Formats: sequence, C-alpha cells, structure tokens
Amino acid sequence: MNSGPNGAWFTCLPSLQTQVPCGTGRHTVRWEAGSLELSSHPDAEGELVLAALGGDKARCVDVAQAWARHADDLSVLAIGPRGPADQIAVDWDDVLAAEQAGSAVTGVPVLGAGRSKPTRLASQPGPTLARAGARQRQMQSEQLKAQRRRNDVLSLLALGYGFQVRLIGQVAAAHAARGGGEQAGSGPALVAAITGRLAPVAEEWLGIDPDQVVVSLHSGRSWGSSELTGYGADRRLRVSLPAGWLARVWACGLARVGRHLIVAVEQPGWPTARVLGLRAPGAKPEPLQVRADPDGPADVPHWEAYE
Amino acid sequence: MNRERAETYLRLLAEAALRDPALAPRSADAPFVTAPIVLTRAAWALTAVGALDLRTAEAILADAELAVATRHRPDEAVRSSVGPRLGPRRFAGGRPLARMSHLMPSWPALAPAPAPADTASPERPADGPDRYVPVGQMILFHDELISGELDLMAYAHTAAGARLTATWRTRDPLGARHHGVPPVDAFTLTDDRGKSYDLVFDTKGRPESTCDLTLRPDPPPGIGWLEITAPGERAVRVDLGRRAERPEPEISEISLSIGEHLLNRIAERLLALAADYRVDWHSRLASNPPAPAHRAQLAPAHRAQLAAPVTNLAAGLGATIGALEAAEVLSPLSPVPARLAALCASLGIGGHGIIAAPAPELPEPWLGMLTHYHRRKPETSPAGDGFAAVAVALPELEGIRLVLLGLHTCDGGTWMNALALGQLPGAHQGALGLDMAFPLSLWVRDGAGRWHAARPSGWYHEDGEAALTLRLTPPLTRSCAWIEVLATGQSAEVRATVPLCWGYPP
Repeated sequence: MNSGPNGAWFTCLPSLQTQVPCGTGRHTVRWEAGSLELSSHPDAEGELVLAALGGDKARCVDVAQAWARHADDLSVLAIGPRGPADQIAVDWDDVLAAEQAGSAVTGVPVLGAGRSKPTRLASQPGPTLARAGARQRQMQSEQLKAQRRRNDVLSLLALGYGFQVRLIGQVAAAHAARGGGEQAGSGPALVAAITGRLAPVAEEWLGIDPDQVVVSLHSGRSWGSSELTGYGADRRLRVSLPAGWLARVWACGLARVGRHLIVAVEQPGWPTARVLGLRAPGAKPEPLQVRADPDGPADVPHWEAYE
Repeated sequence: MNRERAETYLRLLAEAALRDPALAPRSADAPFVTAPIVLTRAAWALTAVGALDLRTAEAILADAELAVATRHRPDEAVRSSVGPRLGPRRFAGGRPLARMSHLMPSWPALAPAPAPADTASPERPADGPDRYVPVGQMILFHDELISGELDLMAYAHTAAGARLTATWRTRDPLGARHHGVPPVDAFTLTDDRGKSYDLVFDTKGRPESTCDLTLRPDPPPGIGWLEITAPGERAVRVDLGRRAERPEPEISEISLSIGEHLLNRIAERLLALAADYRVDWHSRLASNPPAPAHRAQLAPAHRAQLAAPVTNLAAGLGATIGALEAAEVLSPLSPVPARLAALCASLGIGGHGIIAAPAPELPEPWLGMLTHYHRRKPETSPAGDGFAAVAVALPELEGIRLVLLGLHTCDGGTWMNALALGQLPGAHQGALGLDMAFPLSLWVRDGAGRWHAARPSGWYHEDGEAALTLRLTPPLTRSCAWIEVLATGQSAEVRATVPLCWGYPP
C-alpha cells in the first residue's frame, strides 16, 4: 500500500509526535514512516487483551486502533483539513465531551409519528409492533455505530494538523494502490478530495476562484494534465491528477513550491527531493530540486526550490 | 442516469459549501450544526430519482455535518456556561448525524414487512374480480349512546376484498359532535342471495372521519345489491348494479424525464403550500414584474409576507437542478427549470438559486392556481360538508392503476378517496411534504374551470393495494356536477371527466 515506483508515499515527510491525555498523564504518540508508535505502551496487544477482559483501555491504544480503522476511510478526506489555513478546532476536551454525550444517550428518535386514529378495528397490532421494535433496534445500533465512528474521527483530528495530513495521505495512498477510484468506486470521493485541496492552492497559484477549479482523476502512467479555459465567469482550471497526488504531493506539503504547482514527485526524500512543477497551466512540467525549510513548521514541511 | 457523476456533484457541492464563509453558524448556542440546505436538497433529489442510494447520501451529509462542526468552535462565553465544551451540541451527540431515511422515498426499511403466515392473505391472482360502483347513500344509525350517519361513497371489490368507502359523523345523545366510531359491528348486512356479512371498520390510509368497511366473508363477484340495517333504523338497499355514465378517459403520450417529473412535483408542492399558508399574493404582485432594483427593495417585505415553509421549499432549487443535470436525469435544454423560476418569481420567492431565466409561459394548472390566487380568491369560502359518489378506474400509469372511490368535503377541506393498485414502494411522506413514492402528479379541474392540486395526504399499503387519500388544494368551493382529473406520469397522462353525484347530510 505504501510503496510505489518512487518509494513510499511518505518519504518526504519527517517523523512527528504529539502528547495524548492517557490515564492520569500525557503520553507521546509518534508518527514514523507511515506508522503510529506508542512508546508508553510497549505491549499494546497485551493491554487490549486486558481491556477485553474488563480493564480500562488506554487512550493511546484507542487512538492507534482508530488510526488503523480509518486508514482507508474516505470520510477522512471529506472531514480532514484542506490546507494549513483550514483550521480544525478539535481538541481532547471536545473528544471527551462528545464521548460523554454519546454514552449518556439512552433514547432514540421517537418512532413513527404516524397518524393517530381513535380505533383501527381491523388492524393487526402484533406484526406492526414487531416491525416497530425491529426498526427501533436497528436505529439504536446504527446510532451507536455512528457515535463510535464520530468519536474515532474526533480523536484522530485532536492529534493535530500534522497527523491529520498524514492520515489523509495514508487514505489516499491506500485508494491509489487500488486503482485510484476507478475499480473501487471511490472516484467521486477522490475527485472531491483533490478538488477541495487543489482549489485553494490554485487560488494562490493563479488567483483563480476556487469554484472554477475542475478536477478529474488521472489513471495513466504520466502525471496527468492541466489547462486553463474560458474567460470571466466561464474561466476554468481543468486539472487531471492521479489519486496518489494527494498522498505524495499534497500531504507532504509539496502542492506549491514558489511559483510552481507541483504535480508529481520524481525522487522522494527528506529534507531534499526532486519534483515536477508547472509554472503555468498547460505548460510542460519542470523538474525541480526542493528542500525542506529547516525553520519551517514542524508538522508539515515547507519546501523551497534550490536550483 | 449517471450515478458516478451524481455522487461527484454532491461531494463537490459539499466542498464548495465548506469553502463558503457564510457557512459559520450565526449563533453559538444553536442546537447543533447541520449540513447546508443546498446539500440536503441535492442529496434528497438524487435519492428521489434513484441516482444515489440512501446510505451514500447519508454518509456524505454526515461527513459534511462533521466537517462543518469541527471548523466552528462555540463562543467562549457559551462554552464556559455549559461545562467544559459544547461537545454534545457541537458534535450532535444526542442525535444521529444526517439521518435522512425518514425524509427519503423508497427506503427499504420502511417498506411493510410481509405479514406472518398465519395472518397473511393467500396469494392472489393479478387479475382480481375488480368492480367499482358509485353508491351515494346515507345510513343513519342510533342507539342509547351514539347516533349519526354513515355516508357511503363507493363500493369496490378487488383481489384484496370488497369494501365500502364512507365518511361518517356521530353525535352523543345530547346532540354534540362525537368522535366515536359508528357501531358497524351492530349492523346487519345481506346480499341479494341471502348471504350475510360482517363489516370490518378500518381507517388506515384515510383522513379523519373517513373509513373503509370491508365485507367479511368476501362476497361473490356478481352480487346485485346489499341491504344494510343499522341499529334503530330501517334497512337501506345499496344497488350494486348501478353504472356511472361518463366519457372514456383520454390517454396522451408524453415524455418527461424523471428529473422533470420531480421538479414538476416540487412546483405543485410550492403552489399547494402557498395556498395553504395564504400567501398574500395580491399586495405584492403587479401585472408586470417589478424591475430588479425595485424587487431588491421589496424583497425583505416579500420575504416577511411569505410563510417560511414556502421559502424553505424553494431553497436549494438551483442545487437540486444542478444535481439532476449532473445525474443526467434532466436535460440542460429542459423547459422545466425555467418554469420553476417563473413560478418562484410569481410567488415573490428569492434565494432559490435557479440560473435559468423565468419562462414566459406556465403549464395550465399552475397558471390556473396562480391566477385564482392573484385575484384574491383564497378568501372564497370552501364548500360545505358533503360527499359525492364516485367510482372511476383510471388507466394504468407508471405501473399503478388509480381508482377514485368518492369525494368528500369536510371542515373546509376536500378529499378524494382512492385505491392505488400495483407495485407501490413502501415509503410514505418524503422530504418537503413530497411523497415521491407515489409516482403520479394529479390535478383536478372543477366545473367552474378552477384547478386544484391533488396530493396524497395519507395511504396504507397492503396486499398490493393502497388505500389512498388525496387532498385537494385549494378545496372545492361548490358542489360541482363534475370534475376533470388529470393524472400525469413520465410517459403518459390521463384526462378523465368524472361526474359527481352529491349526497348531503340532513
């Protein structure tokens, strides 16, 4: 899943760590080369066995499990950040509040709201009540599943921007490895995910309205294509990119370097790499040597061309 | 139909909505964050036409809701007053996210489950002994506790059984209106062959004070009459040999895409809602539309005058049209979006987002209702309480054969009682009051030429038949001698002239 012809998608990303409230303290959770490491829980599997027997599950372990559960979840792309300016305001207090709210929920939406009649002499209440009961149980089950899913996502978002971006990369890489949406039926989600992240980059690159960016999924061996069409309200930046662009380029902070829109990574690495960049729509991509700014943000590198 | 483009459109709409700075909640103490209305409307439309399955639509909306919620932190003041965080509200802890199934048509979980074997009716042939007879007779009854009348509108005998469709009213011994049911178990019922029957009272699918009285056991197909004796009254003979004299229904071929059909249904709902909420059309609308600048000045006043449900229904129409076009169930050349734009303009509704320029002409029923209301006709008194004998089976449309079984006016409303035979989805009310599970558009033109939208107000589906009640908007204002029923599907429309034989309570 993580390896491609040019190496693993995350090769341009440095390791990253954060603090997670766990038990009575705060523990370090570290991302390294596409995996989460729990240094305070060397025997996470053993802890899971104890939790299954009725013990408390450590939040760090919970987070690592959530990460694994959502490593190919397209919802991560729909909910996660579209760029550094897209601030997601979720912290551990929010996670705790949402968990408490979820556990406090005992009822489900009132059923039916059907017409009330004084009598229904011909009705057969038995099957009707059985159907209502089955439907209520189904709704409760779905609600619990939705709550767990929401709590998972909130926990992953609470890890911070660097982790959010890496999870997006993980999900995009997983789907790129499966054919980039064509076979797996994930095309619409991937098109939307790339559009949502390319549009603000294109706005900075060309000054184009983000709503005028049109993305399609590219499935060939080349990097894709780009063109600028129309004028005024009909102006469109049409870009065709593979699903892997989200992982190898965007998640690694490489979407725009200087005046170039980066469309592919030729030789991944950190702190230096070689990429392909477009100076203008429709132009032939140029190879660029880039290096991460040592004084840049710690979560996702800021890159500069140096040749 | 292009399902992939449909899903892509919805997801891109969610992306665009997330970029919209106006998306931020206006108030930090709002109960919870919800997906933008354009998104929910587009999702609903795509689900209604079958371009998107319900689970995918719900998942997209749930993600959109969570995406919005995670980007908007409540104000500090509000947060501190309620505890550590407004997590329960902000992240909708107490409710399912984006639960849309109750709004959606054709949701399998809502379909009636098959009846258990011990109560199920036996498998019936597709061609039953269908027989429909207008009745128009009143059965009076009284005992020591209750008195009243049962107004028989029609007799129908189908594969599912024989029943009389009736309205009733009851009074207590002091003469006050009573909400009890008629004591039909004390009625005696015999046919011309001397066979006795019980009557089973049922209101499923019918409005208040309307019922179906099923005959048990099922009578043979050719009975000539029924004699009904109610407590304290003489026997009343119901002639089942009566035949309604009426012209044959006219069938015309048409070709509507499912997207156009949906938009037409939305337009009808808009017209009906505007009538229900007594929108003051007259004061706002001149014969010529006001200039844009003038409209902008008047817009706030207009909005204040319009009832919220009317403007809510129109919200997101542009996105709905875009979604249908993306799904390739609505041609970009279709005239229907322009008609909707014209309708919204006539109602003074803005914010609908329809790009098409208003059409110069509208369909006759729409124009009829608009004209009627522009002349302040809403103030016209509805017809008094009454019932009319009707029994008309319309030709099959969209796999459904509609049988009209009586029309009655009561408490200012007009209802047409019907039976729908065929394969009907199990869902009932859809979003926006649009019952898309019922695939026909129905209009009624009365003897004075006025048009009335006929929308399902209730139905109950059982044994391949649905007891269906259609509510007429606006209600009839007089007891006309006939009505013309216009039923439209996607591929054909039927016009049927239906004579009404009115019966009146004493």
